[in-house]
Amino acid sequence: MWSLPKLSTNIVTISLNPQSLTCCWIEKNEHSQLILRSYKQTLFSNLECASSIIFNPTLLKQHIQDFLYSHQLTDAFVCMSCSGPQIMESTVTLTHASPNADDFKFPKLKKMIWDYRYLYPQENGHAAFYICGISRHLLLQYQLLALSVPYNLILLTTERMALLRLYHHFYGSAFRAGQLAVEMNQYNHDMHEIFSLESLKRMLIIPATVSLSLQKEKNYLLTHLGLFITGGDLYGAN
Amino acid sequence: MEPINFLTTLSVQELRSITQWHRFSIFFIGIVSVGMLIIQLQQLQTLYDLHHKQKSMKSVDATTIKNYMNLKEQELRATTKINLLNERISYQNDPSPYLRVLQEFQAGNIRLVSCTLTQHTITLTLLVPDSRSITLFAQKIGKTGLFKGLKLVSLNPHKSQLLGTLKGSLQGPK
Repeated sequence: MWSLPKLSTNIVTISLNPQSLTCCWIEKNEHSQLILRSYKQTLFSNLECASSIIFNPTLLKQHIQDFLYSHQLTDAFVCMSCSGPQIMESTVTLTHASPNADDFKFPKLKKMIWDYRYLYPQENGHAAFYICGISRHLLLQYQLLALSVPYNLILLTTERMALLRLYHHFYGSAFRAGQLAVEMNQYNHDMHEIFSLESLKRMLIIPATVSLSLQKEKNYLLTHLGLFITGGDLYGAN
Repeated sequence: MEPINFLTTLSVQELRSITQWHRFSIFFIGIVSVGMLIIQLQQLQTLYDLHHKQKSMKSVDATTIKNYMNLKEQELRATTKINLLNERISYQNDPSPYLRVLQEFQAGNIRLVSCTLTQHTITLTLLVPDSRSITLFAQKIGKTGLFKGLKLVSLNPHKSQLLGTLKGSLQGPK
């Protein structure tokens, strides 16, 4: 009760996938430009997080703690994305654009916490939906990780959801679901490919103090950017 | 597009409200604790003062009671003495005046052997050299007004002297 954390306007984004853990600190300057303050990637070599299941929480905790403490971000809001075989993600086509939860007939979903979002209309009049879910034990693992560090975890979503939110943010009022449909089909539903390197540079300022290979880290940076925007929408930091 | 969040989290307004409530609660608890402490300290101080006062009052009472008891005892003793004296003064058959007179007139060879006093009569046994001495003695004490009707009832020789007995009635001191 006594150790209620202070509230900060900083948002730290964490992306966890079977290959690596990336922590990122993005800030918004007075000109509403997004600046990358810090970025750290830790590659997994000993199955620390295989198939999205955390097998070595102590090591993950240590990496996250190092990042948060080194930048004094222990009170920051944390947005986290996860991806991997244990996270169920799919694009589903339904005959109507306003379905109920019962219309998604996936037996797997019964044991999961899941949700869906409308993506775009299809040429045959059907509607495409993005659906994602996480098993309860996996969600508990991520929550326990957040408690053990500890950090203010406010958002846990998938990478693709973060990228979809980034796409919306990128186009703003010019967003058209039809355009999304075209681009998704063009890039075979790989959201990372929709954004070019130039687009990333326009959205995110990377100071010279932060050394990283933009080409190599582009996909991760896009996810972090999407998470930051989502977190900002949720908690009014943007 | 509203993002999918697997977590059910509080809104930032709720978080800030909780934080403010938390701070206010701690502040309020602190204030109440300090207030209670001050009140308790005051009450403890009052209790201590009362205890101290009671203690001092007890010691004063003990001394006073001791003095009072001593005085009471002295008063009782004095009252007993006064009562005894008053009793003696008010005693009707006080033999002292008679004895004083007898002692006063007992001179020369006259020696009082015994004196028996009843409520109204007196019997004197005297050892005298001759009969004239006892007669004179009877006349002398008869003139004091304390005795009335003194008569020589017996006169017997005793060794070289005479043992005479006088009997009369008491008149009482005027």
